[in-house]
Amino acid sequence: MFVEGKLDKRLERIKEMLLQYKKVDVGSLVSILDVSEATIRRDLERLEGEGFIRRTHGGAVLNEEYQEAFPIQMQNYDEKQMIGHIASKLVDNNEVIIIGPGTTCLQFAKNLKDKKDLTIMTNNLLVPIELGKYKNINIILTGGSVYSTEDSMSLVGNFLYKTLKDIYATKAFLGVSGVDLGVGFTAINPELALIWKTMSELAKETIVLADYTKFGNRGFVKLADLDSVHKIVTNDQVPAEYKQFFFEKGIPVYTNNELVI
Amino acid sequence: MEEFTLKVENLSKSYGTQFALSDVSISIKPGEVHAVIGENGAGKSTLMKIIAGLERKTSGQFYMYGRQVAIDTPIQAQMLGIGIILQDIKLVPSLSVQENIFMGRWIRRNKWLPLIDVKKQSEKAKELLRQLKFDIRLNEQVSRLGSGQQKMVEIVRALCWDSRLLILDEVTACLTDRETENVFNMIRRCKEMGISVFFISHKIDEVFKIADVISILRDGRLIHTFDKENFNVKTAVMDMSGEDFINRYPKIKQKIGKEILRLHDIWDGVFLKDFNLSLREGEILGLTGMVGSGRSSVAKAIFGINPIISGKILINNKEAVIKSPADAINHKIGYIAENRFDGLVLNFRMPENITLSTLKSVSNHSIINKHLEKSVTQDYAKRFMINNGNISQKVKTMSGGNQQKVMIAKWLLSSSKVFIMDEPTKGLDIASKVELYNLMNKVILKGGSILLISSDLNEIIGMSDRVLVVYKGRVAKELTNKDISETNIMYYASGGT
Repeated sequence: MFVEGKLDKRLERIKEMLLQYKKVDVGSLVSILDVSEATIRRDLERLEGEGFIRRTHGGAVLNEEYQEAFPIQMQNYDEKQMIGHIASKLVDNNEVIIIGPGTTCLQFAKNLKDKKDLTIMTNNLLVPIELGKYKNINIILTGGSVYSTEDSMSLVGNFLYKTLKDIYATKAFLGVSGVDLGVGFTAINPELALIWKTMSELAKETIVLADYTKFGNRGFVKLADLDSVHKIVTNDQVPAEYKQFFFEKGIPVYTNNELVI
Repeated sequence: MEEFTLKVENLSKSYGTQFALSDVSISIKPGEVHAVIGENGAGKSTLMKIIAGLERKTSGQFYMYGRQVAIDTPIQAQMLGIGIILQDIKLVPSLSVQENIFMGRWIRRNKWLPLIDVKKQSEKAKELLRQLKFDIRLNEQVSRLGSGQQKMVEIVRALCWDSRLLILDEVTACLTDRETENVFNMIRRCKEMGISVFFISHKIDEVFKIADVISILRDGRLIHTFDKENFNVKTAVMDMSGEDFINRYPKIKQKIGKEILRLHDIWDGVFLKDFNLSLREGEILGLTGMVGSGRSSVAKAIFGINPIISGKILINNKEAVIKSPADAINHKIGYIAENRFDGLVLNFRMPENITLSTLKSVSNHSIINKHLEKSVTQDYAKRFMINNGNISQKVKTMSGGNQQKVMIAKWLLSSSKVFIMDEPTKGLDIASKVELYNLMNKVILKGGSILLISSDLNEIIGMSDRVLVVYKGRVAKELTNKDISETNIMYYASGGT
């Protein structure tokens, strides 16, 4: 926790400096904060991921449009951000995709800004907030009642299933709560499980986004067998037996633990 | 007399639970050339090594001229008249042709004194050379002969040892067309003498030229045996390649940019002839071909290990002079060699290894800053999950997967742009393979390009944006998109046109 605290403090300092001066350069940050250049670059990457800044050659400038609409507390932020980055590489232009609820899916959506003529069907209410202003992306929301947790906001309930009829997508990007060799993919409650299954059935390919902390976990309700999905996007830290299992079952595992932009 | 020189029945060979050969039955008649073809790892060499006594069978029977025999050691096989000639030359270069031929089987003057009857030996050898129409001086030193002639000397040696069955395992892999033709002429003489020949080769056109009977092995099983007249190259390739491709590879499609490396009409005087290729930014270019096709020579030419006799290397559209690995490194080329030990100092720990090709970046005024070196390495170990972040272990005690990651980290640190990876996943366990494929993605996402040289066709198909099939030192075919299939690769890699 000590390390975490230091990181937060540093990010706050950088934010303050940016608000004051509108721009910063890596060299000054290194000397002021007394950390390595690599660390500063990673901090800047992180702030850029949050939309707070735009990185420039040798530094960063304040993103004037930035406003924290929904300040959310996210666990394993870095890991999810990396998954989102890699997963976005699996989306082609002109596709129709489904995006599920949850924070990992949100991180994924943030990386889709540059896709051309992309249609997104989602019940994740934070997705239109991220992507609504981009004309190249067409977002269709499901119906349903609003369901909020401390880090997400999504649509659930009867109306959701009514709007998800007769839809056909190429890929569904879905999060899970647990990935376990014994029991398969799991969710924390039956409601979310039903939505997951419905969305998965509507798409030709199901792509599971799960950070490494989900592996070896068991949730409350089973979603599917491990070999019933098409691709996995996760982090390098995933245990070897999972990498082997999926490879042998013919399911590609995409991993990353470092943000490369 | 029994019809078959050798008959093998229900031969199996297992390593632990893994079957290298299962239930193979194969036979050969006097004066017959029987070719055995199949992919890498199909079991061809294992089968031949067992027949020659170099490896022991797990189960099965052998019959020579109808009589059951035991073949458990090389000596037993030799006594039965079985001679094997492998891809590498097994002669003593500093001795003469005659000395090599009779080494280990000298003809004695009489049985009491250990004196060699040189005259009798040379008479016997000369008679054989006359029959084989092989014009060579017996007192010539072997090192002065070409590799084709050396192969022929090996055949002569086997025949002098009264072999009735010759096994030629990939003997033409490193020979020129002309040398191959000479060896073939010698095989034809052997046929006339009633000698049986098992001929193992990757090259279908050669097989077609010399064989009377052709057998196809796949995954340790004998799939088909054809007479030459009934042999069709296309169906043979289908038989060789087996199951459909399953896309289990985490391939990322990155935007492909401008050309970063071009080879123009490269000739290295040994393997490569008018070799051309073009590699673009963000691209994984697969390069495959059979053993001896020259696929690894491409890497060695680009990295300045083998000198280029003619042709040009262009980097970013400018001609680059690469005469040594140092030149290649200056041009931002990184090489992950087939033999990992070629790129790592095994007795060093990870920090010394990964900074080796970019010492300047961790030095102040020509003195290595050990603290900086360590922190850089720690950062890499963490980011690439190398050895669970433990950097104090000597590289030689790390697993193959971790060694491979150290090597890639080394080139990433020296900001290489072109990564030549020769058999990068060979010998790795599955999880490490998956990690390595994802590391390739990182290289690409960081703006690098990869020349992926591999004999694992699935890996080539799964990870490459484009595939070049090499045959006899040239690009036989470029495959793109839907045309990248195992059948197509096998077809062009075996000399199909």
